[in-house]
Amino acid sequence: MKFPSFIRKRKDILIRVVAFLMNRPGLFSLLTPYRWWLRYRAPHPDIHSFSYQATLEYLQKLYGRSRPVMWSSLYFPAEFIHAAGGIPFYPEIASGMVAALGLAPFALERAGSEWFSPDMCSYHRIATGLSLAKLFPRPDILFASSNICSGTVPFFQTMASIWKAPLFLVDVPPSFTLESARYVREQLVEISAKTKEITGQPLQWAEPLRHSHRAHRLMEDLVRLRRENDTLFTPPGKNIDYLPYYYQFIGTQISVHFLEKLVEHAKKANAVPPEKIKAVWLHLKPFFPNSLTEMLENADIAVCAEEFTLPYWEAWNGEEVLGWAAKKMMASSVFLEADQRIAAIIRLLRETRAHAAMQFTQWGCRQSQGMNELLRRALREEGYPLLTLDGDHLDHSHYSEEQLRTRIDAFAETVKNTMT
Amino acid sequence: MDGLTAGVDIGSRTTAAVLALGGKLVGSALVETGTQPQDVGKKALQKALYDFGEKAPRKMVTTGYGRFQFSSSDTVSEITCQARGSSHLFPKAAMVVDIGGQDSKVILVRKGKAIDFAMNDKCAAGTGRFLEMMAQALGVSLHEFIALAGRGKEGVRLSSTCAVFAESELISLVAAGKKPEDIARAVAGAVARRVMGLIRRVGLQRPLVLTGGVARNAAIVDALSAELGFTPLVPTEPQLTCALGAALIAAQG
Ligand code: SF4
Repeated sequence: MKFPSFIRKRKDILIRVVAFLMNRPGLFSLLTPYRWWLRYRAPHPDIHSFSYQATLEYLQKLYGRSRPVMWSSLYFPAEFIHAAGGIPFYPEIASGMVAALGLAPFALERAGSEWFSPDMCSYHRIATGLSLAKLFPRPDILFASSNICSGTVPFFQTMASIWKAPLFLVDVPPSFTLESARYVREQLVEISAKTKEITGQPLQWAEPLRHSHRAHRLMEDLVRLRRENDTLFTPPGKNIDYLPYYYQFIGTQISVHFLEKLVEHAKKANAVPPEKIKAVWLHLKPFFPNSLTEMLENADIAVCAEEFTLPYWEAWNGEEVLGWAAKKMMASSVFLEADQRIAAIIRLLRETRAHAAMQFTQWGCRQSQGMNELLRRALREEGYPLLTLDGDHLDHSHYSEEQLRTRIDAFAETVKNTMT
Repeated sequence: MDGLTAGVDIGSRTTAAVLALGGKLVGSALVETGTQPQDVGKKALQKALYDFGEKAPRKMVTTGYGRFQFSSSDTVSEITCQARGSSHLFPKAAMVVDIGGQDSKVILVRKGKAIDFAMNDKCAAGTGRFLEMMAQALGVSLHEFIALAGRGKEGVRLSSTCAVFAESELISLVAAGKKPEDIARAVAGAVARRVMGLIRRVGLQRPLVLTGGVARNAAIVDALSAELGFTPLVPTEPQLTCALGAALIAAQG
């Protein structure tokens, strides 16, 4: 849509004012009374209020810059950042939250105006747009690993150049061998030393490891509870909306408290009715307001597990810490390498006694798109139908409600035909 | 009338209404969908009922992308309806390929029921819309384009399957002095190859039924037959099979 120039000018001014305010750390202390009031009103918050309060506190710390802000790609361990005394910021997760607030069009337009191609993944385009507009928090350090997708490293390099901040890249080989684990660990040793130079303090691992260990246990409990009790969360997995607790807050009490509440919730949640189709949800889902949940409900599909909320790594068991962190980074290959991912998905389908798998494939995502056919064939051999929906998790302009509904309804009908 | 049921298929380009009685198609109507899917379903149904001399069906099922706009009936996806309608006409059908105005579908069928399917992604290549775009680029009507393709000879190939790139490729073929009829034939070949990709995704099965508006296009049927290595079964009214399936489903319950 093209706005008249005076409105466009005003919009620009408004954005500049917001950016100015976002870059005034002192202003964020004004949130404290509101947070106190929230805590006073709900001393034992339910999971949603807890999440709201935790997010508010996080934003206050992040934009208030109470500690160094450290950006990170998804599979760089958050425990490292907490040990370094930083506030983690995962731009890809934040882009999801921005889309959920309906602000993606502005960010995408901003990135597009500086020739960032619409062929790029929208997770990266949104983060680029908001960095150009200086609405994301300025990083003091950026960390990224090479093993997510071919877009991640250049994206983080672009961010480092926009923000003029140091970037530490970890090259993560796809398969686990003692040699490759040593290679990753050596890089982490070097990065720890450089991080210490910047922050002026050594990494303090005790607390983050303790919390990470506890969170891991709780995530395992959740998987077990959902499997044993056939527990149903709101499709397509309210879990996925709570992504920060599985990534950036891991290694803090926030994640632990959140997961404790989720375990309690899972103990009480309803079982999946037998007439419903139990599906495992792969990759992520659209974050902007949409009717996916309603469509799944109408089609009698219940999501019984999500790929992105699984405890994919092994909990710390007292071993040398950077060796463990290296192993955790390498464990993410279970989402990223075709053979490992497909085997893990089949295991998950069997363990959860699911009928089918569904994936909302991200537009321009070479990582998940690329292996779709391999996945489809492997699942078919195992007797599991797979529905891949094509769209964009963040960019609403690639979303067609009717196309989605037809595919979901037809999928449910065909799965039911094979069930009976 | 007691057992009269109706199926209404509100597609992106055309809307079909079918009346069924005792498992037989007894009336039908086909209208352009236009911009008002909520009204067009009613219009098609009324036309079919008027021609048949009835006021209302006993039961009705609506299908197609506009099915939720037509609130007064049960809805079933076009995949299930297409499988049902095609296997009614060809009881041994194992696969249905439906090439519609905006999307194409390949459906694996067992005993009249859909058990797997694949649909084209957002890209228009391999759909009726692609043919329209290519006809426009050649400066002829769709009707003329089909006639041209029928006269064309092999030898020109359109390598792009993306609608946007195919258009510029087509323009360069014109500039290179290729005959319009050979280019039109090449377009039909490109559509057939794209549809073959979808067929392979599900796994080719015979007998294969070809439905949808594009199934009336002899050039496409020829091109697809060449890709398949056999001639698909084409119903007399390939645009009505989905609505027929809906009417038969309505009769069941
Ligand atoms: S969605 Fe795909 S392309 Fe985008 S960042 Fe994730 S892995 Fe990379």
